[in-house]
Amino acid sequence: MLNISGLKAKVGDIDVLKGLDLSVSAGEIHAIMGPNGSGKSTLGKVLSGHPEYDVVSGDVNYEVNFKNKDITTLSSDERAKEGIFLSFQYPVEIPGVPNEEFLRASFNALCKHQGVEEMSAEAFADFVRSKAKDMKVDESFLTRDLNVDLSGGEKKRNELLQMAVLSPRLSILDEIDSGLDIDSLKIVGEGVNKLRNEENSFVLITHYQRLLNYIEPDFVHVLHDGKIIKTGDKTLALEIEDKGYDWLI
Amino acid sequence: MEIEMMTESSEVLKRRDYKYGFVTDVETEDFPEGLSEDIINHLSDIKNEPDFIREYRLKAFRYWQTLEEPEWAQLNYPKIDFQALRYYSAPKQNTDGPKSMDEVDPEILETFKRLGIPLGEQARLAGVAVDAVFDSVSLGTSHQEELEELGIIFCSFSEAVEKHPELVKKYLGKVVPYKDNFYAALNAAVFSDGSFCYIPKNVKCPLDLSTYFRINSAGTGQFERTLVIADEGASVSYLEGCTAPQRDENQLHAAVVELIAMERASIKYSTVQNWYAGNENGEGGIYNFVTKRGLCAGNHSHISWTQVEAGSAITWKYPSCILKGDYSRGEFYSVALTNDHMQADTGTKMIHIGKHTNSKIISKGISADHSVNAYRGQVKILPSADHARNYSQCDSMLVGKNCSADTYPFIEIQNKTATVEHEATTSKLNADQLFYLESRGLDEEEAIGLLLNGFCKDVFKELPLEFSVEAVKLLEMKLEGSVG
Amino acid sequence: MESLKKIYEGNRREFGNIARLKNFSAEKFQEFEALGLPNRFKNDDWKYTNINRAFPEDLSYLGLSDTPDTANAPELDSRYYDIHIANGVITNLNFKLDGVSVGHGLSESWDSIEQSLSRYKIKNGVEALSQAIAGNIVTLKVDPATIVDKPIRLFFYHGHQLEKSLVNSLVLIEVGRNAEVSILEDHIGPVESKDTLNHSFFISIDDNASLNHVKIQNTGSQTSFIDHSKITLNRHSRYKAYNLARGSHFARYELSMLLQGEGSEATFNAAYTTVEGQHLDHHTIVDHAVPNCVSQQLYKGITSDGGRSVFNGKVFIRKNAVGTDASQMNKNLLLGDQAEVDTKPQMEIDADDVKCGHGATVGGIDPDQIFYLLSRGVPKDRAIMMLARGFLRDATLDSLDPLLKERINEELEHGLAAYVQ
Repeated sequence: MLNISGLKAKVGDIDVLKGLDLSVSAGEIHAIMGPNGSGKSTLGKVLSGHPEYDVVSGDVNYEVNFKNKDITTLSSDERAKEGIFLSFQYPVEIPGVPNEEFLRASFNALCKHQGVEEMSAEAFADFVRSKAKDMKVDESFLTRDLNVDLSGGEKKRNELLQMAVLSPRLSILDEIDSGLDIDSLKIVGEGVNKLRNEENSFVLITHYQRLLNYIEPDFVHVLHDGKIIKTGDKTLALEIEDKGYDWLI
Repeated sequence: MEIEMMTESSEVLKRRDYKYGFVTDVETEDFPEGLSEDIINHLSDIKNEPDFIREYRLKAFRYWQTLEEPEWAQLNYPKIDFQALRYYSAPKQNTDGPKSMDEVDPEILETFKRLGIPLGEQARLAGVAVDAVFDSVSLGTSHQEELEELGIIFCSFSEAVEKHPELVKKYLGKVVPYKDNFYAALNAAVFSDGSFCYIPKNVKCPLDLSTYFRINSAGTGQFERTLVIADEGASVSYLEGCTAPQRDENQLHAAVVELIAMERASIKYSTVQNWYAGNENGEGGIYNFVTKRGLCAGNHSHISWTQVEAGSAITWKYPSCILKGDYSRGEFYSVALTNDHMQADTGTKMIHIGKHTNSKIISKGISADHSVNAYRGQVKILPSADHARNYSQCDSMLVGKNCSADTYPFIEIQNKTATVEHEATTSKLNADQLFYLESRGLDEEEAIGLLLNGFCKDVFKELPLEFSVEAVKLLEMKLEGSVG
Repeated sequence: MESLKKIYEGNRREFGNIARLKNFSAEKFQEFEALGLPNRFKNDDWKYTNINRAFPEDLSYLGLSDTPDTANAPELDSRYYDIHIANGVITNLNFKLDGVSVGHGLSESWDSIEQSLSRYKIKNGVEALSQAIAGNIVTLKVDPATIVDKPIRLFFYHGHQLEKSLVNSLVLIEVGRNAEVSILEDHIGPVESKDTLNHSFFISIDDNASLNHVKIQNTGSQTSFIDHSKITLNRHSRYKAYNLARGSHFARYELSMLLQGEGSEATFNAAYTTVEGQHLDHHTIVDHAVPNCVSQQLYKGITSDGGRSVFNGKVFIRKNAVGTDASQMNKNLLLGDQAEVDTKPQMEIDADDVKCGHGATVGGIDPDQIFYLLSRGVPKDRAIMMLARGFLRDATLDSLDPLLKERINEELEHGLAAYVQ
């Protein structure tokens, strides 16, 4: 589904990714771990096409309709329409725009792209409420302005709800666990597990092993200085939890 | 990077082709350019006006001659040569005017159709009574019979002068006296037509009343006058829309609107102003210098102004309320969007005289490109106004690096029981916000539209349904063309 | 205007033997004549304040020899580095300090004074007049990297044999690179004096320097008081000001702040009380000329029976001043039937990436709060005073020198005592 090879990217003049390789197949969950400043969040931003991040070289191939397509030239909304979803580490607050209205606009933009009929406000209201229930997100989130006055944990759960509504094929979750208390973490973990199936894939960017107690990854990668320096299974994460990163570097 | 994003989004606000910029080809009867007592007398003659109107005009004209054009607003434009304007232009027609819609020049009806304004049968279907003003003359009013049954008078100003001179005489200039300001004096001298509306006691007007203004002729000023009176216990919702063809010269629009609400009466006046704003180099466009004021004359009366200002090269407009009756309420909801080289200086005055009077001001300014967008408002609480309250909120949004947003609130309080609160904030069309929305699959245009609508929703929700749809469309139209 | 011309000429006779000064003052007086006194009908900045009240026709010239009675001169206060300025002239001081120099116009090199003044644009006739008749300019310089261990006080008072006179003073303050200093201005005068006090302060704060500045005005109840303060902030400099105004029957403060160095921060708060017969007008201008500066402004005033308070704040955010964080707030408490408050919190914003908020509130005391206190046995006037105190305390700056905070609290209590019958 996703094939990254030799990816180099920079922010302004600073090189952050320095030749990253990663391959994700449908149905897989990959965890990316690494010390601060290793380039974890950059990877998420680059994959979703944040305009501040420039790809210098390398390929990012993503499977669209059984064909590999280089997505580095696609704009952020085009990527979203192709089923790529980034859960933000710090979701931005947008006063004046109610969550539900935003989600419907987003959902219908995706429907339109896929040639599916757009959903009416009434039908969407039912649909989004059922998703909110699935994801154990309070309905009151829907009528509030997008991310405004939500706590850090609530914002993360709102990201989860969006993911449930948009059902992406590739989800990149950027530190969805940071700032969460253990109960919220459980809810987020259960939510991801519910959404998981044979056809979609997840890339979990995380700092802490504890997220992986709730979402079991197929692969764990260690990112350091813009490159993946080690790949293993979930035991690697436990080892890191135990020993830190120093022994790898 | 942020810089780049911002330019992009400001591109989005670049003036799109002005949808209403066509010219209608009809024969018109025009006055020569310039203004003098002769011209005014001639105007009065043509319109066969009673003496009190003629004298009112002449008094106003004499007073106007003693005035200088005001310069205090935050506006920048070449001096207007008032002698180079034409003060009357009317589609040529039978001297008696059209008896029914069937007699109106089909070209003009076609114009209104292109504008999407329902007249005649269309209006009946749309459930709105419309008075359409083309250049200087009212073309005809729909739904008159139905309204008459309820005792509602809704007609052109000229017709009101002819058929209801006692009402016109009683209220003309009572809220906006000709001495009020330069443009009010000019309007009083040369006003050509406009709408008149009277809602009798305890009648709730069942239809939204609507006036549609269009400037068509070149070199013509438009000076309409609107007078709305809601008698005791009456209520009405009044809509006003404006467009003009695209011309490379500047045209002057100096209207006066007076509203009077008696005891327990309620008037809601909504405007969507989309006069031609000039091209992206700031050439051409309408100078929109308008005096609008409402008098809450009776106790428990209520006047609400809602405006969406999206057009005109220059806007100079302060719809105001004089809260004279005890417990009367005044409201002002405004969205002013400027782009290219547009300049808007708009706001309101809330003058509290009666006890327990209450006013609310919600103003949202959006400036993009090289435009200048200023809020100027006054809240005055006189010693007599015990327990008066005002809440004002004036937010600005800046899009791009070359525009400006200014706020000039004047708050004058002379009573210790007053409670007055003024809040203002600025925001921008933020690159992070756009990215967030785009990463959820909205394209840039949709994302900006969503943000702008979010910023303005406190105002849009005050508009009658059909106007709020139009307002949203208008904002979107201003955004059109960002793709490709 | 005749009286002002006489004052100018009297001043020239005394200082006119210095050619440079003579030319300078002639030039400024010409500028004054061209500008005239501001007209309240033509100039929105003077809409609520008639400056003619401060310049009556019978205002007379105060000569250098008309000094206050030295026998009754106030004593120097050892809690401060104390500088006494009587009728605009330094009369006494109690310190000699490395890194701090105090001078006056006739001793200093005129060149450097003129150069300093030329950096500030004259905005109106009153400012031109202040410079035209400023013979004896006070200068205070804090050298780079000097940390002054206790507050420097400028103690202003006035007195003479004349019926009413114009007392003019001009002070230039320079705070050098990395220096840190607190300055207290005390303004007092005879209760019955009908003088017009016209003060100008030009303050420049160099890179990374810090100035705390407290101004306490408690002049006589028939005195007119005009204050022009112009403050320039350079890179990463910090300015914290607190202005307490309760004296005089007519006062106009004009505070202009120019943030011209990136990363500079200004906080300026004010507390004021206006009682019967008082007219108090605060005008502030904050000019964000460069990126990433912060300005915070909180003006709180109590206006009671027969008093009138005016606030006019203007914040400019220039085109390249991105990253600006500016806030401006004026809050008013109205007591009594004949009180009037006019407030204009204004902003002109030409940059898009900024955070700005401004606002104003006007209101009376919450009857529920009064009721609560009454029901607990507090007498009504005491209750009002408590609420008024709570209202004004908001504006106090915590980071000030403890001595200055104590002074502020004392003055506030005196001011508030007026509300207890």
